[in-house]
Amino acid sequence: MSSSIKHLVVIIDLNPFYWSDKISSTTTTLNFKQYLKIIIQFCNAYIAFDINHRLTIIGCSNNETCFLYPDPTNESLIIPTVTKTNLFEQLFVIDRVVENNLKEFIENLSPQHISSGSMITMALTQALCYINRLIRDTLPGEKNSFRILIIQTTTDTSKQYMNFMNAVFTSEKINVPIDGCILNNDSSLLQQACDLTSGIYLRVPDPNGLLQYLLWLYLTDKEVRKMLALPTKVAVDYRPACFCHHKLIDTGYVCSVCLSIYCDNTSTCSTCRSAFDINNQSISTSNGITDSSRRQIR
Amino acid sequence: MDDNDDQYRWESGYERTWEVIQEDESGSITATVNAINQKNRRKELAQLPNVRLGMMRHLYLVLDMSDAMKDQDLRPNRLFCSIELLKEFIFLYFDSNPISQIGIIITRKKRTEKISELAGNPRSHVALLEQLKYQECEGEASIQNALEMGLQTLKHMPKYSSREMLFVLGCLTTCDPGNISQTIKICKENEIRCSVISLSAEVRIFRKLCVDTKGLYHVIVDSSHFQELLQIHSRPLPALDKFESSLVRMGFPKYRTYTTSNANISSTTTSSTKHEKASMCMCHLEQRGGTNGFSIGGYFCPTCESKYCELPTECSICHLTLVSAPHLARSYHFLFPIEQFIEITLDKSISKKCFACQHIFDEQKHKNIYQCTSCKNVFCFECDLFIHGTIFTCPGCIRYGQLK
Repeated sequence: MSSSIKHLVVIIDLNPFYWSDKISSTTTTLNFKQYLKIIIQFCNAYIAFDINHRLTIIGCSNNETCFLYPDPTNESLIIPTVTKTNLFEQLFVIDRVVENNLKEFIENLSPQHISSGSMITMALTQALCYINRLIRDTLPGEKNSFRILIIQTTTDTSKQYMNFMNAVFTSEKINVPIDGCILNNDSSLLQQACDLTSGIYLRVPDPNGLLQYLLWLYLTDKEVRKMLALPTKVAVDYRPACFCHHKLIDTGYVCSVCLSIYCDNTSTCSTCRSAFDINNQSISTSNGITDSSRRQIR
Repeated sequence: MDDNDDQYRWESGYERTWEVIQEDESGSITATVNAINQKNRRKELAQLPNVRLGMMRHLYLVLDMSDAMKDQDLRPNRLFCSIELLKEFIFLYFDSNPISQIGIIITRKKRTEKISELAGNPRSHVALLEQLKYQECEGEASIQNALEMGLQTLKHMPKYSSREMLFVLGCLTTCDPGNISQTIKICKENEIRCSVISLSAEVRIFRKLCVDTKGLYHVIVDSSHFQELLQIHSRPLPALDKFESSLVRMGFPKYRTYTTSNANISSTTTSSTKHEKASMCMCHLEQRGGTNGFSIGGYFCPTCESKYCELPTECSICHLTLVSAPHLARSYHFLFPIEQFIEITLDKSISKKCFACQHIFDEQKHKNIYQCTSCKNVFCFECDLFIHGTIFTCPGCIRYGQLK
């Protein structure tokens, strides 16, 4: 086997918003503790899967992100004890580091600014910078591969569209697939991200089976996936929302200066404040018609 | 490079360029050289805010295939080197200007040939360029003929788009049927911006062409400089004065396969039976033979329902520009550039690690770190470059954008 290092960056959504109404509910639904347990299990499985696997875990809540693992400063403090005799040493370290960092992170969360969205975009850009550094640090001749997995529980925030797409295009450029796994309703942003970077998108139909889905789809890399029966790809809706009413549109008018999208003719562009000549618009379309008719005559 | 265009290097004052470089204690100059390189790279990425850019571009690439291109001062020869770099350029161009178009013209034997019409698909252009490698370079180039050929098409392109021609010339002469000044004048009147990259030396008429039409004129130093120059041309240029703004009607087709049941657009439920069979797409219709483009799924033009296998494209039936939202989003970073970070020293920093890559700052390695002026987070040099050159989003500022 080739000895190329395979890095996985897991971005986990820790926003309390999604879990708030699930504390008191019955045992049939997944609760926060189980959710964390599943993710740790998945991460352990990933490390144990191959000696060349490397892992990074980033947590994000409603207004903060945190690198949960690796944590070079705290890692050395943890000395594997022989309490659990059969446990792989590295897994023990991961479990403890993530546990400690997670506790600290959640305790320090500020209760103000409660919003339903999470800082997925911030975590994603940080992950890309982190990967960029790893790429720069690789020795010549080494061929490492990188992958990002986003486990999201909250809904999209439309304000982040541009930043998120910028991050996705970057990821496409440096050839890092983004995998998306969502527990809530379908996320169109995440869907587009997975489609553009050729990652796998899945909306988990039953949160109780989360571990199964994670192990089935997200443990493997691109090479192995060719041999798996993957969920059928749904057609991603790439229609944009117009800037004026935030409605999805089939045909629209695009400002030639700043590429803002409008669903109807307007006299000025609200983004770049350039004035349009509405009559001009009709001229340019009629030009198109004469152009086509001329072609037919020819 | 060519900031002071009116003055040549040999006409300017005497500069002691080597005095900038200083040795450190061990006699090494790596540190200073690195610092200069860092400064240059940051400068390159600095964008001017609030400049109106020509975001929609129609560009004709004119490649010289005269005798002069056989020269071997670029390896393996000028033609091969240019074609390789132009291939790269085409992909860069479509990456920065996704809804723009490009066409290729070559000139040799005092004539011009149109290799490809203005179109938006990078792959077909690159394939055509590849074929040119095996054709003979001969005779003289004719700039006038090339200009006339470009003019014929570009003159009819809408006023709101930036109409440009980019010449890659190895020749030092041009063999023209008439007065080239007249043609340059027509180009100027039609607001067609002509830029030239010379592979050999500066030629007065080429410079005149660029100055008159407000293009850029460059002479390459070596192949890496050539590459840099092409990168400059791949980014949208500031718009000309007479630039019109207008609303352009565009279609955003959805990918549909009618075998799946999730066709939930209201207009399609009535016509869904029509599309259930596999059909040809309009883009591959003219290519006879082969099964390319024969499929069930595709993008359907929202007005006339004709099928296309790739976006962006122009509908050949109703002439509607068909794009998808990410194509437009790809160029938004030119319009909303992020501000330059300011340089600070390590001891002034509040944080001991880079906000983006979590690298812990080192006294030796990170003498200067960079701070975002709005979110006050600090970044290392690599992240600063990566953020301004590739991501175009400051990780720290995202928080404020969301909580607002």
